[in-house]
Amino acid sequence: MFLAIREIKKEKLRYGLILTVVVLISYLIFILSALALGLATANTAAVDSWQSKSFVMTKDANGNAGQSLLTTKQVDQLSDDKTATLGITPVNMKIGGKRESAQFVGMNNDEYIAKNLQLTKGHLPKAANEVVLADSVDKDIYGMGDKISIGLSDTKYKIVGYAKNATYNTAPVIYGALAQWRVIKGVSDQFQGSVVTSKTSQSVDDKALKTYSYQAFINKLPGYTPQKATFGLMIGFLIVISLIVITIFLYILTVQKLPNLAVLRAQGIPNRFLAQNTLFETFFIIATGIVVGAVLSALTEFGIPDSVPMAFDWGLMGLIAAGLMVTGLLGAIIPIRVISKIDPVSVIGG
Amino acid sequence: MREEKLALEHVTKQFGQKTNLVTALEDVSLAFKAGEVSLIIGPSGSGKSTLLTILGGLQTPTDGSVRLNGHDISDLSTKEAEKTRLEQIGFVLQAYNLVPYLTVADQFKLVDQVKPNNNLSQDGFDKIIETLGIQKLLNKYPGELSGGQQQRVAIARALYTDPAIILADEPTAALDTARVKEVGQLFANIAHDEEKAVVIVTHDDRLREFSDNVYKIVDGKLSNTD
Repeated sequence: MFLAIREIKKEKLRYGLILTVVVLISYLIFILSALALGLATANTAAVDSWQSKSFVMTKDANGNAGQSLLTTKQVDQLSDDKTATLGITPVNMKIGGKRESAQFVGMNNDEYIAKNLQLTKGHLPKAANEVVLADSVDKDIYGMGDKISIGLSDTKYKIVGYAKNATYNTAPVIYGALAQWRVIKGVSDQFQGSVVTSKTSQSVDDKALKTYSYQAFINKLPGYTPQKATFGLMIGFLIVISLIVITIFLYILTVQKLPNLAVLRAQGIPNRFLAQNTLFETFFIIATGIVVGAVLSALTEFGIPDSVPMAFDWGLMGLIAAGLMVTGLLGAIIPIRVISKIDPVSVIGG
Repeated sequence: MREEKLALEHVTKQFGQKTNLVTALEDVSLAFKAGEVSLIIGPSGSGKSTLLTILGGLQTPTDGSVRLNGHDISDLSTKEAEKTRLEQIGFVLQAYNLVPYLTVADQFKLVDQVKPNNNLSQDGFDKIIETLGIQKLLNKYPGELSGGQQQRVAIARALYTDPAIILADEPTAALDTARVKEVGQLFANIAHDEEKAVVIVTHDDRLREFSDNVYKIVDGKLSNTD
């Protein structure tokens, strides 16, 4: 620690540059993680709020609720007091000249999903032409009491409330009556909904149907799994890159100091003391880089427009910070090995 | 009779094997006593640096033995040799003696970090830095010092652990004649006043006048020039 602190204090420019690189890497990793988590949350927030364990859809829909059409008979067979039937379809909602993509979710008010819905304002739809919008929509455009057009329906729907955590597949959710799903989607009366969810596991005998667990349902959301994998790979690569960058920097710094380190070894300064200093130096650079990166990320969140989904999870941030710290300390192995191999004889004349 | 501090007995050092075998030192025996400055002079490649590394426990002899304060140090482990160098030997080298990012004061504090006990007392330290004329340099970095000042700090640093022996490798190589005289006199004072055994390996004849013994080494063989 003694040598490391003094070296950093004396060589401000050199260590400032290394620190800048580590700050930028950790900042990038934190921002990417926040974006990945924000995107994941925008995909799944509504599904999470439903608190369901299983989802039954038609097999042909391949896990995409928007493509599933359950007949009245199928819904009747699946329904009990622990289930809820939902009619889900991607739509455009229009008001004035504005048009926005959304997901319509039709539901029955007497089933658990409607009962558990958390509203930030207003009330559940009581009439067929009433809807509750995601709290995330622009209230200046979609104000309380305003009327909007949805999908293929000719009806003007009145906004009677806003729901918390109401995004599905990154689009805002419009909660309305299940009966309106048919109208909005433009399907015949023989279809009752697109998915039957349950608080428990469900098994089906009907070969045309398939049950999905919560995780399987989430993974089948269009684009969700590739997005997650892409962000995961980017974050992984960045951590590996940080390992390489830190190793290269420390190696170069160590090589530049070799004659001095060799003299110290000749004078009897133990190898362990020099290795501990390198380790502390690494710890200091990474810890400072992580803290500054985290602060910059938090500041960025304030400046990012609402249209960019960003979410910070301190547990996940902590995990990433620990990952960066471990890889950084691994990066110190090579310089420490170089120090341990120093031959003090090399600095004794010729 | 002066006390023997460091001695070599029939020391031979060879490098390489078979056809590439090089004998750097051949059957060298000599002793260094407290209160004496011993000069080992020789041309480049004569084996004088090898001799110094063996005296300092940085290398082990192929044959023969090295005695420090009466104890054989020929076969010490790396850790034991490190401890011996730290506690009993003060090294003054030609260059890189000082850590560039430590102030002069911190060069001594560094020693306290690894050897907290049995270093010079505050009085002893004050006396040394006064003798060496470096008391006004304590807050300066090595880069802010002249070559002569750096060498004086290096000597103070070597003395700080209160070693029995000072081993110096070409300590005047980068100095002008005035500075050589200054450094030579310092070594003589250290040996005579502090009862240290000072061994200087050099090819600088200007240091002769400050030495008690002069040995010449050529092709790994030693001869006394006195």
